[in-house]
Amino acid sequence: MSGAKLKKSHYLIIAIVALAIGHFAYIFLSPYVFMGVAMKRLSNGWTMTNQFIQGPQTTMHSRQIVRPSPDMAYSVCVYDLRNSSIHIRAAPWDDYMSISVFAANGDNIYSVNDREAPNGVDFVLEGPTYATIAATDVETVYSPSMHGIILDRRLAPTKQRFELAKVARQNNICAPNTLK
Amino acid sequence: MPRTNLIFSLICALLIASLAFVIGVVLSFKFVSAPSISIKGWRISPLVGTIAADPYTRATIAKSGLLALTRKEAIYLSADSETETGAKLSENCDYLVEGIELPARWWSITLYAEDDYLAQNDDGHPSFDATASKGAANYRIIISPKKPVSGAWISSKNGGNFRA
Repeated sequence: MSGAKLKKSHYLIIAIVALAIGHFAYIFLSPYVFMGVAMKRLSNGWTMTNQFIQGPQTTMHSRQIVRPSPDMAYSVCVYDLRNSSIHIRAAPWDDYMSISVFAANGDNIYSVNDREAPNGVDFVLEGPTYATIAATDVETVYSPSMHGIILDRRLAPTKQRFELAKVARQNNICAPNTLK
Repeated sequence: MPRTNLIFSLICALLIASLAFVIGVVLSFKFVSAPSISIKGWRISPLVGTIAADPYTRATIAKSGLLALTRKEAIYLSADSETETGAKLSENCDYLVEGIELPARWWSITLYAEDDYLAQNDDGHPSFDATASKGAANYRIIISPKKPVSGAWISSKNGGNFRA
């Protein structure tokens, strides 16, 4: 009868192995989980993908993304590349601005700032399966994941600058690619 | 009987494994941090946001710095304790942050509460940035829950054990 029981040492080994699995599961999966939560929040439950959404001025009520800067004006586009590549355009800004592309694991796979693109940003974002043919006359960026986030940051530390940023951002485009 | 014992043992093993798994996740969530360099109490993680980031850096950033820029665009310095004593920063104390104008196109010092969001106060002073320093060679900022008589101010009201 005793042969059918597990020994204390077996339980200890099971506990240690499970603890290690829990640790590594957190380390490797948490970036996808946190990004998934952020993408869902920022796209209003996945209903507003492939379009720029202008964020309001950062206040104590801004709780969608951790550590927001109160000095920046943010626009965000949650991308979905399953059906087509997408075309991104961001209007120029007369101070610091950047466009950053984040993959589903949170990696910043591409970024460009106002000094590198003084006339504004223009590129096509292509998915990992190369299912669609991107336009050749604009820069093509390849994402390793079908989903992710594009973030437009503009330095706007005052209310007046924020209002100007709002106007500038109205010309931003994040939409299914129609360029051929 | 042996079969009953085995089933009981397997149920116990499953419970222990589940509990240990959850503990592993919770401890990792609470204590895992990215490899960093510390300079006078200010920590910097050079691989933030990069494809080359190790899994520990990536997991740490996902929790407390999601959508951070890479070193090409920005460097993030973080402090959660006093330079001299090492005591945790607290809204119950007043602090003086001073330094020379940073060699950057733009910089800011922002206060985040324990939950990594802006502190829940409507003082309107969550940060101090380069445009406010107006190109001065040195800056001095008071971090306090109450507005100082004069000088630059970041409000720590409702910040708890905050970080900058």
